[in-house]
Amino acid sequence: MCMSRPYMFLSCLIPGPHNPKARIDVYLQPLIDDLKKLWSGVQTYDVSRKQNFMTRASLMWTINDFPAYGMLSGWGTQGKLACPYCMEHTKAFRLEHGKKNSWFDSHRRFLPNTHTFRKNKKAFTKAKVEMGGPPSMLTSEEVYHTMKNVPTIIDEPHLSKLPGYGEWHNWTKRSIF
Amino acid sequence: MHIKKNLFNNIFNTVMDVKGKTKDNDKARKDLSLYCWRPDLELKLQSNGKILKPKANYTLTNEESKLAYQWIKELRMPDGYSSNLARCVDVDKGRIHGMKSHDCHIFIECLLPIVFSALPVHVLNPLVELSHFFKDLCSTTLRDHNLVRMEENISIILCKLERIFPMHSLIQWNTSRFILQMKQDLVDQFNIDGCIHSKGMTKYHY
Repeated sequence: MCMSRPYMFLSCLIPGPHNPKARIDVYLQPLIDDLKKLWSGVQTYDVSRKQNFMTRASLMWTINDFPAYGMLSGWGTQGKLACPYCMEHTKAFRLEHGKKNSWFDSHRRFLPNTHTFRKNKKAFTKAKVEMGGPPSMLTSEEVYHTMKNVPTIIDEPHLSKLPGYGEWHNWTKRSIF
Repeated sequence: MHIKKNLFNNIFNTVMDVKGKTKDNDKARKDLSLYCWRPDLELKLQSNGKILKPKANYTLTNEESKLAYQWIKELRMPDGYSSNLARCVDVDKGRIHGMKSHDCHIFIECLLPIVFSALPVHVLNPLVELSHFFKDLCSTTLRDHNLVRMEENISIILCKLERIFPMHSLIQWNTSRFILQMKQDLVDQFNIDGCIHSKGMTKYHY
């Protein structure tokens, strides 16, 4: 139902030719202001009942493709640490001849503990048994504590690369959400 | 959308062994010998000084790929289902061009198991499973228990593919590893919201 025409409207088109990258937050600022106002509630008139009521709203999810995911979340989706699920626990490495990052053999840790692939020393990386579990997911509090000292794009429009970017983290900014 | 398109390009060009576009190149073979144990795929130095690149089991032979191209050439689609794929195929040069992302979507979901049916079963099966995964993911109704099952399956499918294909094709496929993560998000979201996602409601665009 939420994808049908009466419930959707185009509110903003960001002009090209350049990708806004982390500065997409500037375009989202009015939305955030409205959402903040709606969180505490706004008096609205109900025509059918002929009385006022409080409208409240919250952001449930965003629909985006992968590059836009990097812009919205603040975790860059490029380079070795691109996977926002593994984050700094990534097993990506650079290929000797191909000169590109590879995520080969990063998926065995998602298998059930007893799966035969985990003990397979031939089919995956040479002579390696994978016994580790999947990386743990950050909770919203943990994300908040990691990012609370990082400025948003609104506070600091010319935010340069954070120290350690691409080495032990891939954070570009504090997300506006 | 782009995940499927990249995936299609890499799988198709590697399996059909399109010159210049295949991910199964010399560098990939060299890397394979460094990181994996695949003696059947390693480059071999011959007595006359030339290097032999053995044929891999995941590529079709020339005759088989010609037949596959011929099959796509003669394919007729229902009106409005996809663009005219016959127009995209060049049988003589052995390549495919001008595919829009929707065509790649159709190809991955419906045609892939048929076109690659000449591959050995152990190579074809993971590819078919991947195709089914995408089909399930893009269905109009997603059910809770199906999502959990799909999430368990996709890591196994990815591992099976890693077993067969060289790492170079997996470089571009690394997008496919995100599927795993997306899946997880979807299931979580589903549990939180408790509502059925319609087709466009998926958090990401595949």
